[in-house]
Amino acid sequence: MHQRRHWLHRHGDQVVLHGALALLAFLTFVPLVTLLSLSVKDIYQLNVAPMGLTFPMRFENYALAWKFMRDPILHNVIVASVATCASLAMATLSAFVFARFRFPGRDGLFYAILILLFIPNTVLLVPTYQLIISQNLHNTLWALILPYCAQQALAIVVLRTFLQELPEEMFDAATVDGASVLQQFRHIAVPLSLPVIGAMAIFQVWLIWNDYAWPSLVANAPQARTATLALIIFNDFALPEPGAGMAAGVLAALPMILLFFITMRTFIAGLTAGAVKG
Amino acid sequence: MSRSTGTPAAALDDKAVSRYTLSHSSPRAESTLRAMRRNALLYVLLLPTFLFAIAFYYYPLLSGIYHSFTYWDIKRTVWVGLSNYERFFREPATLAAWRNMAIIVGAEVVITMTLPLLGAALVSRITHWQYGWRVAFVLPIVVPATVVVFVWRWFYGIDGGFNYLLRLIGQPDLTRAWLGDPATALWSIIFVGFPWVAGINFLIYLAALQAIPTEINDAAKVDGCGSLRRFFRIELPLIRPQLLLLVTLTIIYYLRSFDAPLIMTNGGPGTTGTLVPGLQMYRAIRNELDLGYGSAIGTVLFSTLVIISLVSFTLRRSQERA
Repeated sequence: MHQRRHWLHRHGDQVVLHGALALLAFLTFVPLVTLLSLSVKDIYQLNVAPMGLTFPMRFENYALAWKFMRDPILHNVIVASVATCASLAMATLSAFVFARFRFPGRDGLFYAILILLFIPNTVLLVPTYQLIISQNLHNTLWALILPYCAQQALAIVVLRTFLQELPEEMFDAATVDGASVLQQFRHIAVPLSLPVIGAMAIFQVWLIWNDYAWPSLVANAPQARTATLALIIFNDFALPEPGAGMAAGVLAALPMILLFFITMRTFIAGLTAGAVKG
Repeated sequence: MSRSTGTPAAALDDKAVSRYTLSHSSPRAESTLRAMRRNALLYVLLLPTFLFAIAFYYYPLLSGIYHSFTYWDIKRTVWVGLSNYERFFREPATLAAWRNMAIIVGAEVVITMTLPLLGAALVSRITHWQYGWRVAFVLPIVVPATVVVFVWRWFYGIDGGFNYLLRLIGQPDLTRAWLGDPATALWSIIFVGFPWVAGINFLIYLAALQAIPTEINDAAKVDGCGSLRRFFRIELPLIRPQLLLLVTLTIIYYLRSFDAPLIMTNGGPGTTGTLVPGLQMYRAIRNELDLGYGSAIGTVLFSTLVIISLVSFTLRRSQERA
């Protein structure tokens, strides 16, 4: 008993902290847990007891939702991986050139990229829409991939800072050995900056998966729509059983949650680095 | 990033001369043109980035500004002077949209400055399982915003979660169509994501708090400074740059953001219940195919963003000097 009071006295603050955080976390997770529980209800269960668990669980909701969500999720995976790989490849190359070489106009060119950070995509919505329509790219995956490829400014700025801080000796030795610019890039710059590239790539994937307004303008048709867009179309126009609509919500979020659990530390690093973009 | 933006170009150049490996000869010894030819490969390597930047940033920006003075659909462009702007500023819905936006921005600024900071301050004081809490508050960020908005839309529905809970605690009079009622629609949209702890803001605050040297906090503890006092006297002043940055980013983000109204209410109830300027722009494209009008709204939004960014930049500069 004495021991116990001693413990509480010393750790009382910590107990209060954990309690307060538990309350915040509980409130944060209520909507998400509710989504999960709604996704396994039939219409009767949903009307009688929307909150909390009901049995039997209707996992067939997922079969119905999967039929509608399979292609959009596949589109998202294709768009996110192609656009992220391409934009990161270009961004890493540019960051390497900006960081390690000196040539006329370098700083001016770099500022021309830096300033893009301050132009939000939303204000370019209309002319970019016209560009995509006039090139007949709407309702193809290119309407999404190409503009997402252009989102490189943040990665260039972050990677340039990183590459600038690498010790010069590494590159000097390679130059003496006669390594070309591209060899230095491939064998020194890329391997060393892989963690940073990874963080920026995950942030890019997250941005693409989160986008709603742009896909809803140019990728409405079934052959190009993305997961979050399909979720809203499924619920608002296909009018399924509400439980199946909720299951579609879970499916739309699932790939990102999986990615998070596989790459937790890199994911958090990417979100933190990406925050400046807002 | 602040390092690279803040440094004057001249200082960068001095560093560059000593640091960069490929500059064998003094740059003054050869003409710029020869230097450019010698480095031709480097320009080629930058080319892909710049082609995309021109196609999807510079060209749309200029095209948007130019076409805001025209009638513009996919086929035709006709010069109409300022009439798109006149229409935008005369339309009664515009005033309501900017008022709604101002309310959202104001509320979100208050939110950004309070709950995520509280969450970060709590987590930073935890001695065990700190990483676990961090993961717990990052996980909800990972769920796409559209899915979150979608769940909240269900909560606000007539047969949704809130009305169910109200009936459960014996307050059926308080039930309503939260998003269909002009009195509650806008605030319902702002309330999405309550308690607003889990977000990127939380991560920034946490990183800033953990960057404070432990000696400072330990010294304060030895002097008998309590947790609350430590927060307001030591930590808050030290993380002020991050606070200011997040406030700026919040303003800029909610000035143009319209995903939540689009998905939850489509601007309603009525014509302007939750309308925001970004959504007006979206509708100009989506419903009317009036790209000139949409460009005018986009240009107004862009100009507002530039002004706010400049003001915030100047403010932060003077703060740093003070």
